[in-house]
Formats: sequence, structure tokens, C-alpha cells
Amino acid sequence: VRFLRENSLSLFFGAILFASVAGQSVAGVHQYNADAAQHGEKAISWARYLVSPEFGGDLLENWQSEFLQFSLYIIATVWLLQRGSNESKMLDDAGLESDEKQQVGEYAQPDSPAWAKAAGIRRWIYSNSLMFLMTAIFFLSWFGQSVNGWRAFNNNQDEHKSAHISYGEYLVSADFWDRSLQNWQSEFLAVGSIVVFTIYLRQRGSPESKPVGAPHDETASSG
Amino acid sequence: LVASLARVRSGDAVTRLAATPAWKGRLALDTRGTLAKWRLAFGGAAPADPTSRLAAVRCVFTAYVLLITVGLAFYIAIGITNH
Repeated sequence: VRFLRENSLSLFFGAILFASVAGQSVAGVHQYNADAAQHGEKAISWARYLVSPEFGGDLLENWQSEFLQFSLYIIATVWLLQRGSNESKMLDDAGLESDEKQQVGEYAQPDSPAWAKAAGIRRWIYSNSLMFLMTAIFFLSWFGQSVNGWRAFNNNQDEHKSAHISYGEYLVSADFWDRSLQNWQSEFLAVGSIVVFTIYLRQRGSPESKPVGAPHDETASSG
Repeated sequence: LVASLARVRSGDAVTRLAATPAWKGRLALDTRGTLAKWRLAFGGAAPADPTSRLAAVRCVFTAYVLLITVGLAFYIAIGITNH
């Protein structure tokens, strides 16, 4: 019970992730088979669809945009500010901040991570490790989207008795950029919205909101 | 005794024990054991064990990293090999 309570946030999102992927795969195979029937092709099983580039491309297309969103958010909030927003730092704190405030090197606590106490490259790597990992996942997901999207695009070309295109041609194709940009725009809108909405709106008890009674021009407070 | 109970209830007994004289440490340990039995008897949770709680957090962290790594590797391989 203690394990469930203390990890409920990550467990909840992990559970709805699996539920959503399951739902996506079931809806996706129905859509795929309806399309195949229209072109006089035979239907495929759910298990076969799970290992198809059509499903892989759709999955990674959404992954990449989410990790791009958080990578940009992590790095942009180091320097960029929004007065009154819970999502912004204090207006005087823009930048990488002092070693004392970041508790690194001689200012590290006894129980600080070892690489926060270390000097040189190790501390630099650890100081940016969150951004490094999120960005790496973004680029790998985007690459995965591109190769799966390319295969799926050529499968579609087969159905229409059209010629295949090369991977390089797919990277500059309207299909690839339409899929990428339609996901990016929604992420950027959602991030911009929460930055601005938290100036005037509240959710009692949420760390993603200012305290209900906090003034509108109070920046960086968490409820 | 009250002070020891307060330390145990704060979930910080292990670190504070290191700074207490031996007899106080024994008292705190005895108190912790008794308190654990009481809590279990009345259906409550056992006192916090910082080591096992951190292990649980590491488990969740590792699960997320593994999930993303396997998902990426699997579908990148499918795209590359044209499965």
C-alpha cells in the first residue's frame, strides 16, 4: 500500500499509457483493415499490426512530439520567464544560477548525488542530464517515426500501384513534415497555454498551480 | 521516550540514531520495534524504511527507462528492417 501511494503518479500514468496504446492498436488495426478492404487486399491480425511500420510510425510520431515539448520546456525555462506564472522561475533567477543555489561542488549536501559533488565534466553532464536524456529520446523517436513512416508510405504506394520513394525523399516529403508539424503545434499550444493560464487560474492542491489565494502577479509559487 | 517516539514517527530514526548515545539508541530501536508491532496489529503500515523506499523509486524509474528503450529499439528495428 505504501509503494502504491508513494509512486501513484508514475504508476497512474504508466497504466493509462498501456490502456491508450492498447486502444490505439485495436482502433488502428480496424482502420488498417478497412483501408485494405477498399483496395482489395486481405486483412491482417491484431498481432501482425502491432509489428507493422504503420503502427510503429503512429506510435513514435506522438512520442517524438511529447519529448520535443519537454526538452524545449526544460531548456527554455532556464532563461525565459513569464511574470505571474507558476511555470516560470522568479524574475531575477534567469540563467544557470549560482553553485550555492544549485547545491553543487563545495555547496553540495552530504546526501547530494555524487556527480553533483564532483568537479569538471561529470558535474556538467549531471547538471544537464535531464535535458540530455529527453532530447536523445526525442531524436530517436523522430528517427523511428521517419523510417516507419517511410515504409508505411511505400506500402501505401504499392496499394495505389505507384513508385516507391527513397528515405531521403521521404525526409523532405509533405507526409513526413505534415505528421511532424501537426504534433508539434499541439504541444506548443498546450505548453504556452499552461504558462499563461496559471497566471489567473488555479487548481487547489496541484503543484502545477499557484496557491488559490496567490496574487495574479506572483511568479513561480507552487500550490 | 517521547523524544524517541517523535524521531521514529518522523521516519528519520536511522540517521538520528547515529548521533545519539548508545543507551538512547537502544531505547529508540526498542521503541521502533514495538511501534511497528502496534501498527501492524492495528492494520497500519510499518514504520518507514528509507532504503526500501528508495529501492521502490529506483524500480519505477528503471521501468520507465526500460519501457522507452525497448519501445524505441523495437520500432526503429521494425522500420529499418521493413518488417
